[in-house]
Amino acid sequence: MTDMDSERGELISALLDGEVSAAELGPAVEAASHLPQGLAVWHTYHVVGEALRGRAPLASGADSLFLARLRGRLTEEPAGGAARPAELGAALATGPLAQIESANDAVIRWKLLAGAASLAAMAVLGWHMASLQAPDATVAAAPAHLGQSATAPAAQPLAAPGAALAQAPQVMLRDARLDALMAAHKQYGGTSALQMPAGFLRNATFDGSER
Amino acid sequence: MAGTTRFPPVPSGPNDSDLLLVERTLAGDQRAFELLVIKYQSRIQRLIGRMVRDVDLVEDIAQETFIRAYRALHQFRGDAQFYTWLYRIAVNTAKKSLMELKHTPSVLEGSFHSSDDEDETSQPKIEPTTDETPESVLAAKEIAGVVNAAMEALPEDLRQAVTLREIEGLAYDEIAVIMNCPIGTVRSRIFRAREAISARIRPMLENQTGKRW
Repeated sequence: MTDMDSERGELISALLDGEVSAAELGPAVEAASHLPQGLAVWHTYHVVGEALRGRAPLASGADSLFLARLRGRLTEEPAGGAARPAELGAALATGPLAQIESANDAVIRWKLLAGAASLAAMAVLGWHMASLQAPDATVAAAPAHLGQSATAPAAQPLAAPGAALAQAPQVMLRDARLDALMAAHKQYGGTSALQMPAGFLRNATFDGSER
Repeated sequence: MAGTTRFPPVPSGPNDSDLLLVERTLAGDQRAFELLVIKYQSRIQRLIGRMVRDVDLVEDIAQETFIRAYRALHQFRGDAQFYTWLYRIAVNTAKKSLMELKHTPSVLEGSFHSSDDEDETSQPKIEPTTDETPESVLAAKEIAGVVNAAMEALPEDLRQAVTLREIEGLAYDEIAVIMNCPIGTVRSRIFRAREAISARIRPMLENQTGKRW
């Protein structure tokens, strides 16, 4: 092998390993694909690698015939594959490429779906967290409705006693209509000795002495 | 073409030569795609051969696989290895062909394999593929024997360099650390080892048909 052949052979060897510099890239591909011996060297190096890794290398005759046949079919295809990136939009809109699906398209779709689901989950979580914190601000901003009942258990009509109980369970809130209802149907329900509504009516009694 | 060809950026890993060749193909150099064909033809045919018994059908499906890959090359995003992408195309093409053939009354039952085993990594040993004649199987084993003998005859530094690259799959910079030498020396040693081994098997490859490319 001449010095020139050695230089090109080393380029082909490095290209096979993906170990070429930016300046060597073009000459390496040129050497491997355009020289009369380039393809043979490229193929032989791969045969050596396959044999070393324990894979059965195919005969050269079969390879050359296979490639010759493929070349004939490739000449019928547009140069550079279906389209260059700049022409991708037009190619996708028309022609047979519109019906060809890449082998990894399904993977990409699932990844996009997973990403969208993650964003939606984060949005829901953030909204939930915000809604949990919002009632505190509401309570602090509305002392006229809840402040008095928090300090003295006076019977005051409230617009939403249920909601107020949920936010400040330790505060007893009274409702005149509820008290009247409870008194009228005391046999079914009850209040504690301190006239406070019990958390579980079955545990309370209207008559404290019967406990 | 050389004046208008857009050269892609330098690859960053050992397997980025495939990405480089893909980009060069998209730039209009069809022979860059041929390098990929030469590189992966045997593996693709071996894969298809595990699904299909008919030798002629294996080659037809392999041809169709590379044609489909060529047409869809612009859709290869590089987020997976090129061979992984090509592998899926081959499996899909083989399955499609099998489905079409099953609806053909003249198809023989013995044309199909079970497609349970599609993982080529489960076969590390040299074994015959269904698309090879007994003569080609014997030739492949002879080539493997000559390669192993040539490896034994190599100087220690060359044998170590090519072993670390081809069998261990290490990058040049990793080999340089192990062998305590510059990366340029690693590259030279690997080339010289390949060339020494190739010189011994080249006559065997040329004798297959008398004409290679």
